[in-house]
Amino acid sequence: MITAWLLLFLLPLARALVGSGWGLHRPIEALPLLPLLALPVFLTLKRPNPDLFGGILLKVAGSGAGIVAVVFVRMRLLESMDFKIWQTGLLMAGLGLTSLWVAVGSCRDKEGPGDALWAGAWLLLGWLDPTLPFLGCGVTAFLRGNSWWPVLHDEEEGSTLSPFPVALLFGLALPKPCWDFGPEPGWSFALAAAGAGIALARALSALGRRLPGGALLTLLALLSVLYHPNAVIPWGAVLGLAAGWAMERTGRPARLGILSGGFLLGLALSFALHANAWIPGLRHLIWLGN
Amino acid sequence: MKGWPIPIGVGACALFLALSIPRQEVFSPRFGYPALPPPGGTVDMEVRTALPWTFFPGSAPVPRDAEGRALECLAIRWRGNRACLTFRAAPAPGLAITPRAWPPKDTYRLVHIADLPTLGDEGRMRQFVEEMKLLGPDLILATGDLCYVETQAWYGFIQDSLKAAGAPVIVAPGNHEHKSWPLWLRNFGGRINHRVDAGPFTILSLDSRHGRDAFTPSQMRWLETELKRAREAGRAILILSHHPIFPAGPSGKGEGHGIGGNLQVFQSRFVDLCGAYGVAAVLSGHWHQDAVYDSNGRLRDDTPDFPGTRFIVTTSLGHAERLVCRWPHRNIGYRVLEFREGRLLRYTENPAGSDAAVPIWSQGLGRISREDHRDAAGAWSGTTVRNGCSHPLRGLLTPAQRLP
Repeated sequence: MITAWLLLFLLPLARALVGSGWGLHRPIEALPLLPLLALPVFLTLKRPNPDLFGGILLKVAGSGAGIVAVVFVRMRLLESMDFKIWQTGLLMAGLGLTSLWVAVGSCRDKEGPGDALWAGAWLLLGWLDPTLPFLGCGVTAFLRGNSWWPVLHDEEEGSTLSPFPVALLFGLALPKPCWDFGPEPGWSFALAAAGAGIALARALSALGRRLPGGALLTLLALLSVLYHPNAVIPWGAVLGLAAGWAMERTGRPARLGILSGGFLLGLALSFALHANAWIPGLRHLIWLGN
Repeated sequence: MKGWPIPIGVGACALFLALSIPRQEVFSPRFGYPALPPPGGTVDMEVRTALPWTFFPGSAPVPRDAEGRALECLAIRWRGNRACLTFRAAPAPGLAITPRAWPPKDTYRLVHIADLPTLGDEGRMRQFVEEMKLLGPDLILATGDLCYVETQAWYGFIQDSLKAAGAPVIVAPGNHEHKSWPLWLRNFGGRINHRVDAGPFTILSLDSRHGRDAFTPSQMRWLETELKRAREAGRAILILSHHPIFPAGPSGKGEGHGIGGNLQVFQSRFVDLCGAYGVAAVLSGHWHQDAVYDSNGRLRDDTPDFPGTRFIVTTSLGHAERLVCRWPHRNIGYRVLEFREGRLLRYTENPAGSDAAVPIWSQGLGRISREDHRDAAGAWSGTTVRNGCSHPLRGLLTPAQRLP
C-alpha cells in the first residue's frame, strides 16, 4: 500500500494542487492538506495502539476509501479540479485520510513487482482523466483493507541506504513530466513507465544489489535534470528502475513516515525549482536545452 | 498472477462505475478557441468523453446551422476518450460553432488586447465594445489577464462583453488566470496551447505561466511542429503569449521594478524559432505599457518598420497603466494590426496631433470617432471612423457596411 500511497495519492495530489492554482486563501482550501498533517498523528497513534489500525477498523477505512474514490471521480471526471469547491476538498481529504489509515495499518507488508505494476496501470489511466490515479488509490485501500490484496510476507531486513534521500530524490525527479505537460495528458506515460521500472527493479532485485548505492542516488539526481518530452517512457523506466533498486535497500519493514516525508519534500522542492525559474544559473538546469 | 484476479476484477468494476456518466468536454471549437473555416470548408471538433471510444447514447455532439439543420459529420477519429469529429461547415454565417464565416479578402484588421478592465472599470469594457462595433475587426486576440476577479460572475461579464464586440476572439491565459485556473478552464477551454487557422493566418496561443514566466519542453516541441505546418502552408504566423519575451531594460521613470517580468525559460530557443519560421509578430501584454522589440531584444522606439519578427507588447485595456520600459508614455487601449496579403502593414498609431509614423504607440481607448456623411438632400451617404488624428481606421463605408 506504500507504493499506492506515494504514487497514487501524494503525487497526483501535488499535481492537482499545482495544476489548479491552489492557494491557502480560504479555510476550505486547507482540506486537501489534512492527510499530510494526519501522517505523523496516525504513526504516533499506532505505536501504543497497533490494533487501531487493524481488524474491523482497517476494513471500514478501506471500504470508505473505495467508496469516496468512486464518488470523487464521478464528481470531478472531465471537470477541472477546483479546491475552492468544498466538496472537492472534503472528498480529497476523505480519500487521503482513509487510504492513509490503511497504509499505516499495512506498512509491514512486503511489496512485490505486482504492486508497482498496479500503480503504473492506474497512472497510465491518468491519460483518460487525471482523477483516475485517485481511484486507483481508493481501490487499493479497499482491497487491502478487506484483505483481498495479494500480500507477500517477509522477514525484517536491515537497510544499506537511508530511505530519506532516496525518497527525496525520487520525489524531486518524478513530477517533472507533470510540470512539463500541465493539463495535457502526456505525463501519464512517463509515470506509468516509472511504475513499470519499479516493478522490474523488484523482479531483478539481485541485480540491483550489485550496484553501489551512491551510483543509484546519483542516477536519481541526474534524472531530475536529464529529461526530454520525446523520451518520457525510457526516462520514466530508468527512473523507476533506479528508484526501485534504491528503495529495495532501504530496509524492511518500510518506514512510511520517512519515505512519505522525503517524497513530499522532493515534490515541493521540484515545484519550487520549476516555479522559480528566474534563479540565475539554476534555471538552465531545470530543462535541457534552455 | 496468483492473488491478482480479485484486484483486477474489482479495479475494472470500479473503473466502469466511475466512468459510466453521460459527460463530455468540448475542447474546440469554443469561445476563445474558435473554428474559422472558409465557406464550404470543414470544421474539426475535439471532444473528450467519459468512456473511451464511446459517446453515451444520445450525447454525441451535433453542431447545427442557423436553421437548426444538423451538419454533416464526415469522419470521427478516436484516441482513447478523445474524439475528433470533422463536419462540413455551413456555406454561410450562422453555423452554431463558427462565430463568423471568414471569406478571403486582401486586407485584414486584427485587434490585440491584454490586461482587461477589473471591477469598477466596467465602463472601459463597454467603451471597448462600442469601439469594436465601429472598427469591425476581423479578429480579436486577447493575451491574458482577462479576468482579475476570481468569480464566475466576472468571467461571465468578460465573456459576454467580448462576444458583444462582434468579432471572433482567440485567447491565451495570463498569470491572473492561474489564480482561478478552474474558472479559466471552465470558461475558455482546457488547452494550454492551441492553433487557429483563419484566412491567411495561423495564430498559435501559448500559456507562458508554467512555473513562472516560462515555456516548457513539450510546449516548444508543439510550437516547432505547428510552425513547420504553418510555414509549409504559406501562412502568416502570429504567436500569442501573455509574458513579453524580452526584458524591459531600464525604465523611463524608474517604475519598472517588480512588474517588468518577461519570459525566463526557453527564451532564446523561442526567438530562434520565430526567426527560422518567419513569424510576423509575437503579441504579449502583462506590462500595462506599450513596447516593441526586434529579434535582438532591442526596444524599437526609433521606427515601427524593421526586418524580422516584431515582438509587440500592448498596454492594458483596463487599468493601471505603467512605465516599465524606457518608452516614456502611458496609455490605456488596444492595438490595431493591419495585414495586406498576409503582410503586417501597420501596428502603431499616431498620438493626437501627430501625422508622422510613430513607433510603439497603440490605439488609445476613447479616441475613436465617427463622422456620418450626408448628401445634399440630407440622406446618409457614408461614415468615416477615425482614431483621434488624421488616420482613417475605416474609410467611407458603403450602405451595406452601414454602422449601427
